[in-house]
Amino acid sequence: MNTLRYGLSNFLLTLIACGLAHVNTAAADDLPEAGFRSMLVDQVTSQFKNSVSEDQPGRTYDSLGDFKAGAACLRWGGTVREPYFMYSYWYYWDYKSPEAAAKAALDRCEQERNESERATRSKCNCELVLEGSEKKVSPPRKPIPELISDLDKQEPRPKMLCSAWIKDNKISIPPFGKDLTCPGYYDNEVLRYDFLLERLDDIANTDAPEIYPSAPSLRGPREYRGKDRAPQLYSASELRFSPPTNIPVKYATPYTLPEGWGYEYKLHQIPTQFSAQFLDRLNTINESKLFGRFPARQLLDDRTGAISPELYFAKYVRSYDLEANADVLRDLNTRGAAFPEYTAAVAQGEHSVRLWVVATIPIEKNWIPLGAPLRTVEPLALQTNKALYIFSTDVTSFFRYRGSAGGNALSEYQSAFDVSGCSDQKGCVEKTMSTFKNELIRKFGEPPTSANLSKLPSPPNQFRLQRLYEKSNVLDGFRGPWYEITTYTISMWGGSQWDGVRQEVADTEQKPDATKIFVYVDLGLQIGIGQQGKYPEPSADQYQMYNKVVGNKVQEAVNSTTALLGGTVIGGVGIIAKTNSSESNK
Amino acid sequence: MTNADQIRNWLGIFFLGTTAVLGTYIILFQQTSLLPISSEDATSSFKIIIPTFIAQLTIVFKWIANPPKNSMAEIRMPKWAVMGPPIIVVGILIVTLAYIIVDQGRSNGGEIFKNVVTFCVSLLSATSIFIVTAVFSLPAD
Repeated sequence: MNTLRYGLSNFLLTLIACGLAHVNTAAADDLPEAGFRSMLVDQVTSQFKNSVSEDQPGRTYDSLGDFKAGAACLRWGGTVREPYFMYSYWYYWDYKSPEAAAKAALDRCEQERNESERATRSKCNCELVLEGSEKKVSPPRKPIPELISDLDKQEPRPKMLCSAWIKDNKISIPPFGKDLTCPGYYDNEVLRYDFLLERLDDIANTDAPEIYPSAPSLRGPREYRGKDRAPQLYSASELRFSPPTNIPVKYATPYTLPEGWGYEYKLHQIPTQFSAQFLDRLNTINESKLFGRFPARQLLDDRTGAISPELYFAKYVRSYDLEANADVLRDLNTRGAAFPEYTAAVAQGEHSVRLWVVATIPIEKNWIPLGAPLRTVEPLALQTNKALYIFSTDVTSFFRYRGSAGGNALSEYQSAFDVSGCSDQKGCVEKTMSTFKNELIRKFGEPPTSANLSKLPSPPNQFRLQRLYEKSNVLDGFRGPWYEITTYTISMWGGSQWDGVRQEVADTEQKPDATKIFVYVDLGLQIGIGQQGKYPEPSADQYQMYNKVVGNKVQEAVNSTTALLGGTVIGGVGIIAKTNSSESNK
Repeated sequence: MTNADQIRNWLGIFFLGTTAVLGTYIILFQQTSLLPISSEDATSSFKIIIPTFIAQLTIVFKWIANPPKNSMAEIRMPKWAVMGPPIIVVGILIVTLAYIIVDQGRSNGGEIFKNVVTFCVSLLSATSIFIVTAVFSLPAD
């Protein structure tokens, strides 16, 4: 009889979104709840077996013996990100029967739980995980529908591109102002998306020789420290989604972003009728030769000030079989792209099958590879057992300063909206802010401001409208004609109370208890009498005229947003009682 | 040949009229569609052109205030030399203003106006000023 205990390890089962590697058993189950339950059972048993393997080097739970069982002290139904927590686990083998082993494991678990509960006040219940090879763990029935619902809100499933946006088998988003209506997409977000698949023109025009490097491995190479002069590998690293920004350290590439900015990826489903054509395109460019050669510039060496010769890099397209490597998905840093395994789609049995990426490798100027491929890849497309998805790239900042754009006039609008009456406040805030943004763009686009949306990347919930070197309609009158260089940097955020604009906030910050939406406009104003002449700082009366117009425009946008969402305006504040769930993704 | 009084009258009216109209125009209509230039450019132009014109007016009115008894002497100056420069300057200013008004600030009107005014002052400095000095400084007899 053998026993092994693993007491009070506080072994945290990783986030559900990061740990759903084995979901194939859910595929046969069409019911979301049952599928999700099956996935949770798989996850707990998988983690349990992995833990046993770590305890018993060279062995697995399945190889322990015939009469074995395992129990764990579990807490269920925490949050979506932590649907359960395993406090401790116990397993016994070589007993007289599996039942006997199960009883021993459960008894031991209970004994330790009682002791640990006194010591740590932890709340968990001992459950049988495995009896022999049979899965015994049973997630509670009640929290699962809520978990699926919450998961849909927190990790929304990818949206489907509209058929009208695909022309000649290529994605073609119309410019702002055209008809951008597409369920699930906001006008103002889709314009920022860059689809790498549509920017691979030089793949066919490369003059690279017939060299076909392999893709970087999904699993990072293990760190190896050899003796003396034996070869050594640099420390292993996870594979992550990113353009080659600054690799190795101290090299800047054309993709390097300013401090505090980063790349973000999103998945978009291709309409079913176009899937075959896009798959053909992907298969045509897969296994490509090297292309897109670009230089990396070394930053000045701190110690010597020396500058080494330029490095070159080249790109190539490869694909990964994810069915054979499902377990590595949790180690993949996808920078915002939610694989089906990360969303509630997993409950319908959807799982990743193939991933196409653009990899990068250091080369000499004559295309000869100099080293291993970089551990960063740019994702192109993802095929699952149910759909085909295309990745979009966006540039976003991790932090922003409210109101530090340097505008020379500031208009604060405390509590533009009140959404405290909404039942789904998070969805309500998102829908209201998106509608408000559209309305602001529309209103500011009309005279007298006549400003256009700037296409430069900006932090989420912040955007810029501008009118450059054009006649000012705001100052139209006997004096003039005035020309303007005007920027309206508009920020909005949700919160429960006004906390000022002059402070650093995380872009990801979206307070769950947000009951109000705040907005401010940073006005950058330069006025000249001639279009090509000097643009000195405007006079006080000119500022005043602009501030008045900006105030009117914001209020008009508040009014129209409130009307669109079926609310009422009281004292200049839009009172939003509800936004239809069907609208919440529009 | 031209009668001296005729020359004096013509030049006096020209400088008085031009100074008054141009000065008032710049002051009143700067930063409007009738003179779409910045206040800085308008002030610069004013400072360039007005002192020169005022100086001429001073000479003219000093003479008018204390005229010699015999001022009808004939002056040996060709007519074009007396009337040409002022007419050309007025013509240049009218064309420039018309251009600036039609252009409505799309070009750099302020810079153009300043350059033209400087040119006009130079033109007058090289021509009419000598005539004014000669005509309005005859010794009183």
